[in-house]
Amino acid sequence: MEMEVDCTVDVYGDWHRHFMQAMLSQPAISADGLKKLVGDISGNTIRDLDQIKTFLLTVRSKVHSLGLDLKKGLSERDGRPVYALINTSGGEETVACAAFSEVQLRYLRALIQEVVTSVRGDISAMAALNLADGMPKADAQELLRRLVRDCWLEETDSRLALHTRAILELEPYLLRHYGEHVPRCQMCGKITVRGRLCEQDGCGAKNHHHCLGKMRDKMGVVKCQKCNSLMTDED
Amino acid sequence: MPRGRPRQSQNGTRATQDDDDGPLSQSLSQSQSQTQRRSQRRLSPVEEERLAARVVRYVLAAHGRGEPLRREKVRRLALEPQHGGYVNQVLQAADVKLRDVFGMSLEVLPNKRDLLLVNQLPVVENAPPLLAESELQKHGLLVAILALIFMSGDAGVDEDTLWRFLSKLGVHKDHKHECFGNVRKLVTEEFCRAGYLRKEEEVVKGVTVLRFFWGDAASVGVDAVDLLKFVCTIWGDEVEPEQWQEQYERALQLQEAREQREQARQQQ
Repeated sequence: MEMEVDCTVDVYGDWHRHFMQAMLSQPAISADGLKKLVGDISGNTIRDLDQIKTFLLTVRSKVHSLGLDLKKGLSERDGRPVYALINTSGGEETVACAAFSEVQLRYLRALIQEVVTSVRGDISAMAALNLADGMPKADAQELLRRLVRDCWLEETDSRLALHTRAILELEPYLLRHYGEHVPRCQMCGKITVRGRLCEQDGCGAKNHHHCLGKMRDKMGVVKCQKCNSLMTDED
Repeated sequence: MPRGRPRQSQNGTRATQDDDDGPLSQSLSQSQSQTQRRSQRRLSPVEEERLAARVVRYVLAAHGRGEPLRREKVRRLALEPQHGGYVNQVLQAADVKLRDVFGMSLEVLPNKRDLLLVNQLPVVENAPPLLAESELQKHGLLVAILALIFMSGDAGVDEDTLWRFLSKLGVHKDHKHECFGNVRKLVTEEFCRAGYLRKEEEVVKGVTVLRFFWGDAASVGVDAVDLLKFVCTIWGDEVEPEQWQEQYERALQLQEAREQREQARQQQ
């Protein structure tokens, strides 16, 4: 049995490499999943939060030179942390070409447009299928399945939205093409695709559901930080 | 697909060497003048680093698509036109980065046209797998098929035999398997396209049948000795790889070929 005796948390070694390979086939991972993965890889040596932080820091320093980063985002669905390995070299068409064909890219762009410009930040699976132009429905179905599997899209009750991973990776693209549809949440400062629009006419602020929830928990009321109007309780 | 291999002696393959290397040459000839000529046409370390990172990002995005990674496509898309002449240098640098960061190597298949990512990390018992669940299942199926073909020797395996074998494992040709979907498509198309299997058509009594062999990607990416050991574990405790003389010798040959490739690479 092989033992990786020369591995430590803060020096890049086989543990970190193993982690990186795991992230290749697991584009997004929850905080719990991350803790388990790192624990399993290190034979239970890495257990507490500080060790994990150091481990991640070591990984991030290393992958920086590749134009990659391990980023953490909060899910727009439930507010929970999600970690993803993303490309930080900004709008690289070549990378997109590697993962998708031209036809598939066109479909993906159309999907993103539809999702991002919608009021709720999601679309029905049916609507998604109907967006397939010049592509047989079966192919579109297969592509949608793959997009969900690879954490570009997230499915909840037959509705499709952008996965946290996609938002982390595509932020520059979204800001460039859909700036006014993805305003920054007043609470966390991150862009908002799925969120709650302020009801006040002309305000236009959009905030994450989970961020508003935190405000409610802390202050008992939910107020728009931009125009100061009270936001009524959602059903 | 990544495949674990027993750890080989640490001989500095891990690119922790930061020192400037001497003239790299991937040419077959080791002649002095040719080496000198090539050493005059090299990218600067900064450019090499930048382009190697681009290639790595491209390769990672294409990885696991189930299609062979074409060297030509990498050159066209990841490198800029003025860098076309430096492909080997950049691929070499990308390989170094991939080994260092991911513990994977970028291999060139014998056809010189395709590239393959191969896991170089030692297999650690009880460690979590390097692949996601769905990929693991596919990999398991592929290994079973490769083992069958390997044990059958140079003749390869005809489609009938293959399906009879697989049905014993609960995988049926016409079933829509819960993990693999259309199995026939997976085996005859995806595995072949990715280069893990090679298929040949032959006409037997007026009927066209398929015959399967190991593909180039399998020869490069799968350790035959490990595979033989795996076959032995299925047969039972007392069986040793050496007992299958013919297959064992062939496995050793493949292993030796791989080691020679590694050595040739390190000498550069």
